[in-house]
Amino acid sequence: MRKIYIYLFSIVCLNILAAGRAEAQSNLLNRGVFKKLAKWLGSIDNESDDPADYVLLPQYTIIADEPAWLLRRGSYEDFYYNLLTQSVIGNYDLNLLTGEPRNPEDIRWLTSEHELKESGDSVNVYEYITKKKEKNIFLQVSCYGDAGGGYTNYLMYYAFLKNENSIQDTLYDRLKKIRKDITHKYQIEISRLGLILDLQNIPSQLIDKDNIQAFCDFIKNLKREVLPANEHSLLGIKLPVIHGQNSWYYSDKKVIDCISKNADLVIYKNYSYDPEEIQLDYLQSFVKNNYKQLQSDVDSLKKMSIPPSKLIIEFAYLGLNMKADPATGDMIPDEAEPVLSYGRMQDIIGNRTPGDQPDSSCTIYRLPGSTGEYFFDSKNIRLFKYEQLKKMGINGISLYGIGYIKGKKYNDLYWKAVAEAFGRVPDKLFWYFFGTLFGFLSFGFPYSVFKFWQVRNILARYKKYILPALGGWAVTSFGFLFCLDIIPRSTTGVYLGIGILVILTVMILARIYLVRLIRLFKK
Amino acid sequence: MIRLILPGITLRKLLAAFMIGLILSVPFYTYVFPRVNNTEWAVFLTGFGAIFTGLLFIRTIAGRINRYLCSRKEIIAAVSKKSNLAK
Repeated sequence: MRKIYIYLFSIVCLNILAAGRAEAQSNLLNRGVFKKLAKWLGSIDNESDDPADYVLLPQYTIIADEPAWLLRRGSYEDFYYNLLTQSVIGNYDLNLLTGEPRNPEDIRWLTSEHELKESGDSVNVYEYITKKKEKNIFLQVSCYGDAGGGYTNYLMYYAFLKNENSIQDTLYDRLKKIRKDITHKYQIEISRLGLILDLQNIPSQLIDKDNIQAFCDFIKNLKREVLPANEHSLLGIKLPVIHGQNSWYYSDKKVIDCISKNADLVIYKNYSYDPEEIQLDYLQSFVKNNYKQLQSDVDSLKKMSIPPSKLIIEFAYLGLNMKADPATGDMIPDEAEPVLSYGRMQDIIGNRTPGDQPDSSCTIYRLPGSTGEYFFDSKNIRLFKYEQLKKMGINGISLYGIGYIKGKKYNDLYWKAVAEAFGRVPDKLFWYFFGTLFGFLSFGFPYSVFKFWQVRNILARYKKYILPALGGWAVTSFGFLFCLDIIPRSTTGVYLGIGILVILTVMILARIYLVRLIRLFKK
Repeated sequence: MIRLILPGITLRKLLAAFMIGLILSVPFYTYVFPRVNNTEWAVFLTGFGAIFTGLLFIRTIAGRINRYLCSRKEIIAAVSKKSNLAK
């Protein structure tokens, strides 16, 4: 009879577990001990509100791309390193006419021994680089062709691609020295320090055979000179949005072929600038339109010989500030503040007029009487996009300008989207400990038959003991499979366990009462 | 004390369980390590502990089942009836 009570107690416990996982709010769970027990059981499953509890799935790459000025303000403090595989830790703002950095201070800050000792500025980056040994880091070489000084983009890029005055050689030399300084300063393996090339606004006039060849030669030389094959460092190349104005990269298939062949990562800047494609409409409508665009972009990139295994989709962390181009009237990114901050987004929502979208799920907003437009994704929209990208088989995502958002509370929402799409809450070790124990305990039942002749004889003679023995074996076997997640540790698995216990209990009870009934009739 | 918890245990059996525990800890580690967020040593030692303990308790469980079945009233009665007949 005591066994029945044990079975009944187990059923109650498992029922609470199942109810806790299903977040059921039954009366039973709302009181005292049961409530606490259900809460504890709920806490051991694989879900969490804290992004810090997650680890990334090994097949994905998540890159944080932070502008140097945000790094220097210590934006890395609020990062969830557990959700990053790589980070950009410095920016080499390339001067196309000389090959030198336009802001030497950014490089000095990153490489100087003096800065590390005297100033707290670089401590965050230092800690990130030195303590997160498994993470790779990138130095980004960027140029947006906005050097000014009376030179047009065409002239500057032409001079650069033709390597006039050994501009490219100067760049290689500087990059080699910076890489050496960084590895020396932070005492890291050179293989951890990769390079990202972000050359934008290359004028379409340069799309002739010679310039394409010059670009390919530049990429090859850069790899050979700065990232020799024996160092195993990664080279990433950023591509602009396909349907944007800057289409040099997509003008000739040879450019993409060259990038696809030489780059380890191809980072597509998924900044959707096209207001025609995005309507002021409800959430579902936005997701449909915007996602279609993203999907067609990724499909196009795949068709252009970029393998999905190399493809990284970059998002402006929260969204973009856009403004009308005075010359053409087209919407272009606001260069002064390209990425939307959460504070600005809240301002927009606070300033909205009655005719505007009623909640924060709207993703585009134009202030009345203003030429500025603001694009932003809610956490759910971003999560949706991440999930769809995963289905397309991409390598991962890059998040640009995380530090634009101030405040952990708001930041966490967007980290959570990354965590939910590309991460998982790691299992607790105790599941595997108890699972293994259950596995061995289940062997105890057949072993007793093998080892003791008494057990063999009793089970052969008295059939009524077979059921409890088999039941014990079934329960421990189930415990083994359940704890090791072979039977999924979800509500289904719990109900399967309850089902086994109920069937066993019913069979045992039925046997007991049937025997009693038969005895009664015999008398 | 050990003999109380694990009746019939000998040094030889303990050593055998130790060796099997060490060997089986390797597949345990391979299976579990990618799924958890613990250090390599924590996973390996947990695996070893679970397998070592599990191996030792297989015998205990088998013994408990035997004792349980043999201590049933009807079994005792049947056995004593048989021995009386034999006398």
